[in-house]
Amino acid sequence: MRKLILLLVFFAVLQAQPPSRLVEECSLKVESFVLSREIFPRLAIASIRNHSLRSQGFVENLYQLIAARLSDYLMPSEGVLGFDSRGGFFSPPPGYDYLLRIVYRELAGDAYLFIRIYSRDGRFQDFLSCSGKVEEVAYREFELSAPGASPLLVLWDAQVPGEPLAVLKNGEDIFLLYPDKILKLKKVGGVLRKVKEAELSWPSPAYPSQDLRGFIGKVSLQDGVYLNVGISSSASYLYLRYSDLAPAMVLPWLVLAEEEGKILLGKFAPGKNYFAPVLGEVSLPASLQDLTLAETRGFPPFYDICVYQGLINIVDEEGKRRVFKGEEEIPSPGQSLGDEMECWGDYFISTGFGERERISYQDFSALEKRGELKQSGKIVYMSRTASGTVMVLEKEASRFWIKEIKIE
Amino acid sequence: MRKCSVFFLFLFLLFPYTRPRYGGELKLELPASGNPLFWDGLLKDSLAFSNIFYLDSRGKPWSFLFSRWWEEQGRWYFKLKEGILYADATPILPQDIANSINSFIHSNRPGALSLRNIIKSIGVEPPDRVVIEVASSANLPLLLSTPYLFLRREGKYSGPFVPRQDNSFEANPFFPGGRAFLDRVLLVYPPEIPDMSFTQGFEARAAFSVSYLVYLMVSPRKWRKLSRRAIFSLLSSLSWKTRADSYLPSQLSQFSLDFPLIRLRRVRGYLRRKVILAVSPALASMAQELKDTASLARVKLEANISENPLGELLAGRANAALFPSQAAFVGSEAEEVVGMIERYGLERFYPYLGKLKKKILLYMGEDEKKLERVLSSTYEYMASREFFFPVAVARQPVYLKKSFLPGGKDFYGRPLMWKIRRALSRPDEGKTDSSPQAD
Repeated sequence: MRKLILLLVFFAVLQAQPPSRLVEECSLKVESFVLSREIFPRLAIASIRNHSLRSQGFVENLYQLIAARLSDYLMPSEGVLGFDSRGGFFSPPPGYDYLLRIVYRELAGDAYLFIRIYSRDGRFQDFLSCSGKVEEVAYREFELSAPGASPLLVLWDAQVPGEPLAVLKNGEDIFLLYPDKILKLKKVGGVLRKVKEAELSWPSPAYPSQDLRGFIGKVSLQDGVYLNVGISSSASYLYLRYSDLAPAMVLPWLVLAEEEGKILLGKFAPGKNYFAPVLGEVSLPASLQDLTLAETRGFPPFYDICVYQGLINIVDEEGKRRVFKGEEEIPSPGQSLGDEMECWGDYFISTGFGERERISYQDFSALEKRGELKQSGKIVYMSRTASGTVMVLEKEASRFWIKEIKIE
Repeated sequence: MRKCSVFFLFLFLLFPYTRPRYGGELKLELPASGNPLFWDGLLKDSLAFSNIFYLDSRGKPWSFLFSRWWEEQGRWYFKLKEGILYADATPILPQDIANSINSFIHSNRPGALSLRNIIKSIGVEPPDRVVIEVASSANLPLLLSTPYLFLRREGKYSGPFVPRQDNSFEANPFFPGGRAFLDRVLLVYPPEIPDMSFTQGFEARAAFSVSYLVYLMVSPRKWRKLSRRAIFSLLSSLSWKTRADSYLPSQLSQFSLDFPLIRLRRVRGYLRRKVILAVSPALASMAQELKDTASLARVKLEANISENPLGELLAGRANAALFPSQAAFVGSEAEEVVGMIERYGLERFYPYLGKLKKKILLYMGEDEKKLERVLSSTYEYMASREFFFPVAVARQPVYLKKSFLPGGKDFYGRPLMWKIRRALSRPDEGKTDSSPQAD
């Protein structure tokens, strides 16, 4: 039996490698608390609470790890009062000296373990906290056919660390762009596991920006597949090899969209939060080197761009939709859209009109709004995935979430 | 449901744009003659040069130039941010900052003497540190946050804007605090408000900027009833938004004028002239009265500009530059406030101000702490009634959390304008206080 428990603990350690460091750190603090007492005390765990998106299995593993690490001081619990994804509650054995209440929390990419220690008479004794980086991010899946749901549905969402500027999903690979690095995550069994991290060094000069914007896109060229990334404080943009995120080239253009055998190129107005009033074009097929020979023309400044049936749709400086065929502007209803837009089948979806708090989709031809999804946070970035869904980067209070949504 | 949709419609109208918007021009109108502390160009300097430190909205010293700063055994270390540039894209060097502080402390600008008494030496530790050795345990960043201390190097501009010809300033794309949302700032020097003539009308437009909300404060005792009615009808006829609650025939102490650009365009030229001249036969005498009595005013930027943090700063500085008060430099702050209350007969309309005046007189020279408390409650009361003394206007927006204690003279014998609140300093700092009084 003991061997079986040890085996279980071993597998638990294997599965939850990052929390084990947390457990070790916190256990050392508990040990120093124990050793500071005059009489060798006996401990018991009253509860372990889960204030993160982690599953019940994760919390059970965490409990096992803590129990195994502190087995010299810990009295075994008499029974489990309840255990679910929110945590577990135990019935402490009689005769303990100190009771531990444990909380696991994840916040902006950091994992925290908080332990409160109480004496037998219920008095608060000590508060121990330890923190570590989360190497993987748990995500929540949603029911597709939720009754009464809006036509726009969230498939899954996950809280991501730090303050990303842009997100891109290609198959199971998810890329998060930060001002100084790019992360590659992969969806594996309920978690987004970090696969790769690459530092980004932007060429000087830097244009400090009060409203920093980012862009990340995937581009398939003759000589390979690349990610092109840019931030509005840089006038040059980085092209990274898709496979290993190794830098391939620095160019003054970002690949924004494809239009009838052409690639449309744009650049941020340096230091500002919209794209400069210029558009570059390169005919396909092209190599990365060919992007340096782009033909340029004047174009209105815009926040976002997408192409539908050969028509270039933009949201201009005023947040209004304008339509172009080649160099010619076509009269359009000029809906007020916001500052993020994606073309999606026969619809375009946008951040909606307001405080970036809703995603709406509309027909390309019709004026009326077809559906919308109210968000709890503010939309920072939207990008279309290869499979036709849309990734949304959203800020809620000080936390950032990514969501994958689709039209039912 | 209808209420709900109206509410959302209102919200959409209120927030029609989803990101901060870049662009626009701020027109600042300055008087031909100015306030001697601003006249040699504090406003222009704060546009063209970056302050080495400034006070944030919570009154804490902050800097666009340094990534961090700390103290070790009487030495303050300031680590320069990476990659910060002047407007011509040349790098900002720690030596430039050291030189700027050094030349400031040997000048006669406000705050220089305090720093000169504290700073023992200024040096540079390559590649990116400025080291300042201090004589006392003063909070050096707080003292460095005087608005008169700028990063200066000959031929270089480090501020949010770069001066161009014709008193215009273009946004500096390399400003270390981030490019300003405004594209341009234009300084104009129209005739001062007391010189305006309502009979001509055109001067009124020149004096009042289209983008400002202007408060005129007049002494109603000097006004005849006819004039009050005439000016009110004049303003109404021009379709300027007049605050309904601000016109009380018996208590015309203040009214505010909002000048939307579109409205003024509509009444441009002949039609406007006709409208103005047709308003009242008493216009000429009324204009003279206005000229005699309108002596206080406050300028406030419209909402879309004040959303920009820089806009607020500019508004504060524009206020200070626009409506200087020589009285601010001849007596203590308390004397000044009492003088204002008496000069404009404010007790008659605001009896509570009379009580505050009595308290100020009671505590003046007796109890500085209580005096300071009464003064601040006087300002609060005035702010709640939406009227302002020039001193309060000039000091509060610019200096934020600093307090202005009365009394004291600087090294040159001039009245001390500002002194850092003792409460903000450390307890042991009082012994080695850098104020001129302590010398």
